[in-house]
Amino acid sequence: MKKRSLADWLGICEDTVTGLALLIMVSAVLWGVLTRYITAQPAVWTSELSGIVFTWVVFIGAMAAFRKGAHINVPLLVDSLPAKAQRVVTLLADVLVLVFVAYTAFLSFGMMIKGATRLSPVMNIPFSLVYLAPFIAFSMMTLHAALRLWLWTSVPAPRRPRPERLEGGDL
Amino acid sequence: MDYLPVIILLLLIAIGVPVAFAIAAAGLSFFLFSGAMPIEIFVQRMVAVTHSFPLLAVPLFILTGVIMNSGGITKRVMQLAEAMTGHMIGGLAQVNVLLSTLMGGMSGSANADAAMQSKILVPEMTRRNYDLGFSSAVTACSSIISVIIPPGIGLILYGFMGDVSIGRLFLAGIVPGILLCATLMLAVAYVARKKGYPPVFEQRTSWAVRGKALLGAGWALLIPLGVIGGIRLGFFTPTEAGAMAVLLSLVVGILYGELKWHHIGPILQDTVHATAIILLIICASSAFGFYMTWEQLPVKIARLMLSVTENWVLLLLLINVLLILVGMFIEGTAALILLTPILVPVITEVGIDPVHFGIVMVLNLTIAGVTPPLGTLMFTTCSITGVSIARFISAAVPFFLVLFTMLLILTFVPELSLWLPDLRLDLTG
Repeated sequence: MKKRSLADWLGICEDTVTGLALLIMVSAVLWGVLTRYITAQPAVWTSELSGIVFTWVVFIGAMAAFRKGAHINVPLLVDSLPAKAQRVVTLLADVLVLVFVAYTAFLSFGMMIKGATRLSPVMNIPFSLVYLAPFIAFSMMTLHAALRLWLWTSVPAPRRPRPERLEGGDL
Repeated sequence: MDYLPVIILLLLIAIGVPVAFAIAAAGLSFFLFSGAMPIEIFVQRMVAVTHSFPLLAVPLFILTGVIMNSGGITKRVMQLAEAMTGHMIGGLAQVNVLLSTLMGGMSGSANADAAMQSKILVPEMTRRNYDLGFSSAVTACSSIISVIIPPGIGLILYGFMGDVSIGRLFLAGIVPGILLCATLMLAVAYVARKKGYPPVFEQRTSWAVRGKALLGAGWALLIPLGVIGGIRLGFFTPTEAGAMAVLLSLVVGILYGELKWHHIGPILQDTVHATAIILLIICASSAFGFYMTWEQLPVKIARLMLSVTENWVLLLLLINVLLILVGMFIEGTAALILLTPILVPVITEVGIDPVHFGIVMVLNLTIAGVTPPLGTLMFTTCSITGVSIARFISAAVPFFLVLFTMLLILTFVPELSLWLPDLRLDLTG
């Protein structure tokens, strides 16, 4: 059997968490519609629960996409630069992204602590559980961005491999 | 200083920072420098978006499309399309266009449509001596139809960002979608005649065979009818309709005997992936939107644009040109999310129906996806079929002409979009 790397395990964790969250989300919305028509008392918790798990789908999913380099960017200008300038500009972009995700992770942590005493109106779920998703996501993105920068600056690669353009948006 | 976040946004996008992060960082700079609000509000704004019920429609309709492809629904709809148009000259190309239209009623994503047809139909077309550039161009250009035919992710995003009724937008897309299908089929017929592409079948398929194909795809075709009908009659909201569509496509896939347990993992992953990328841009835009509202940017831009002209025809022309320019550099979904809240106040000011404008704007930005320099649909198709961008473009010129003509027609004949949503249904008798 092939030995799984750390990245593989991380991918499995991401897929499991987001997959489960998506399943719960779909089931909750469905249950909401069905109970509205079938029972006299429609379930009010469904929209709240679907919202909370949706946060997890979005942020953990975004973290997975970050790792795969799948977020949409506009490579037009950078690609037209000479190789040396390209390297400098991409480095600058990577550093700025690192600073941004690190700071956002810090802010999310603050919201998570504050959210411990705030409960959701119907199900009494503390908001910490909501902000845990962006906190994990942005922390992991920070780690990943830092690691990539470190590897990238230590190895004199002429060009960083570009993410495949397959992903794109989904209009 | 008022415009600092805008400058930061443009700079970050220019140096290649992913759009979602560029928008979010620009939004964050407002919270940092203005001191008007506690900085934590930034994260709160980003996260709050994911709690909005209308936006849940996005993953639900993406999920529906993914299930259809795994559940054998796409295949059966293709057989139906082939039975209907296979006898025409350039038969497979016509199947390609019709399939986009029929599938448009189920899944709402042009990218998924283009990818699916590039994998399934284009190899078949190549086997029958179609030029690869032509088959790729037909695939990418016809996938635009699936965005306009409801349900469409683009329409949902426009409705959400612009505070416009998504149900009305869905209805508004039907007639323009059918017109797009018809005109693209005409263009295909013209090119195919010139190049002498053969039909699939020698003769017109008999109605018995067609009937059988229709029965095969019948269950699947009930899904769009159920979704649109349910929304129109007020049975459910677009989000609830999305959940019903997921349920129905699951049931149909199981009835066809093609949906298996091992499909679940990949289905969920594909959906999460596509959803997260779009939604992160929306989250970021929500934080950035706080700045725009604070500085009253939409109002200022509206005033500026209206000072140029207050004539609705000229204004729409101006906006269309602007959108085409934006679409050259920024990916369509991102542009749609960012610009909708800015443009909707402008057009409502001169009395243009935001539902009509929604069709125009979504179509415009989707067309940008098949035209150079930055065309997501073009990249998706070319990378799968392996054709060069240059060959793709030269083969796509006739379709570009059709698409831009249709854009103009749909821009200046609002009735095409509006008559269906404005149609009064007197069911109460």
